[in-house]
Amino acid sequence: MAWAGLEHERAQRARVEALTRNLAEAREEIVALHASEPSTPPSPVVISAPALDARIADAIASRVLAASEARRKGEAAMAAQSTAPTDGQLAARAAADRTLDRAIARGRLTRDEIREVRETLADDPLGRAEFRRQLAVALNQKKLVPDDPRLLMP
Amino acid sequence: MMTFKALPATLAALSVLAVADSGSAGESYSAGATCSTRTDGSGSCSGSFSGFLAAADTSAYAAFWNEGAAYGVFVAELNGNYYSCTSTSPAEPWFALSAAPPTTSFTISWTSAGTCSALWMEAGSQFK
Repeated sequence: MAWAGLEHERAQRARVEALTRNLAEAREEIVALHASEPSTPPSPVVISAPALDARIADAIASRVLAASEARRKGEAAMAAQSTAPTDGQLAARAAADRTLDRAIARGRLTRDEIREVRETLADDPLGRAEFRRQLAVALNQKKLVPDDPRLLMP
Repeated sequence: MMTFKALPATLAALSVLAVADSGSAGESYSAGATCSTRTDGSGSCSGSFSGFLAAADTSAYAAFWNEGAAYGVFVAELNGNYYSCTSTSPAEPWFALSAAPPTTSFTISWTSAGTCSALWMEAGSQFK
């Protein structure tokens, strides 16, 4: 009986220690999140480790996850707003896509096509980035080869 | 069996060897040039700039391009095949490679979507 009690106490102590470690990590993450949000002053997080139980640990973990998700959504929204292409850029990207489709159909990408895309997407860094990514996929899948190895990326 | 007569000569020879040893070149080898892709287009390239330059394929090359810190393109040609990936957040080694000796070893991998997924580099006296 006494042995079982000791075992129980030891298990409880181990559980509290594990929770303490988890909460210390969660606290660091919360502090880091606050630090990365200048508009929101960091709020103090007071943790009394021995008194904490699994419910508090879960609550803090949920808070950390919620904060991470909110920040991710905010960044995604900001990125979407700043990358909204103009009508002219959309038309240029469509033209570049057609050029790539034609090149893939032939299995070759000519110097003139690369120069053409370079001009078409001259004012659209994001359009160029996406075109290059699609070109990389086509190259890796061996769907085309360039006429001039030295002139490969628009 | 070594005699006492032979000992001074042996010691002299050893001292010469020791001197020669301290000045001899260390281990060196080329990081070479290898690239491979899976059926979905994902893959990797390993080697060094000097390795690509010394490849049997005389048109082989490997290049890391970047437009500022926000965008990079890797392109390589080896044995008639082309390999490429792009990155919207090039890792630190990307820029370090530009300033590193051409013998610096690197490995870059990419996903089936053409996105660079990892880049390792290793500079060392052993690379030539």
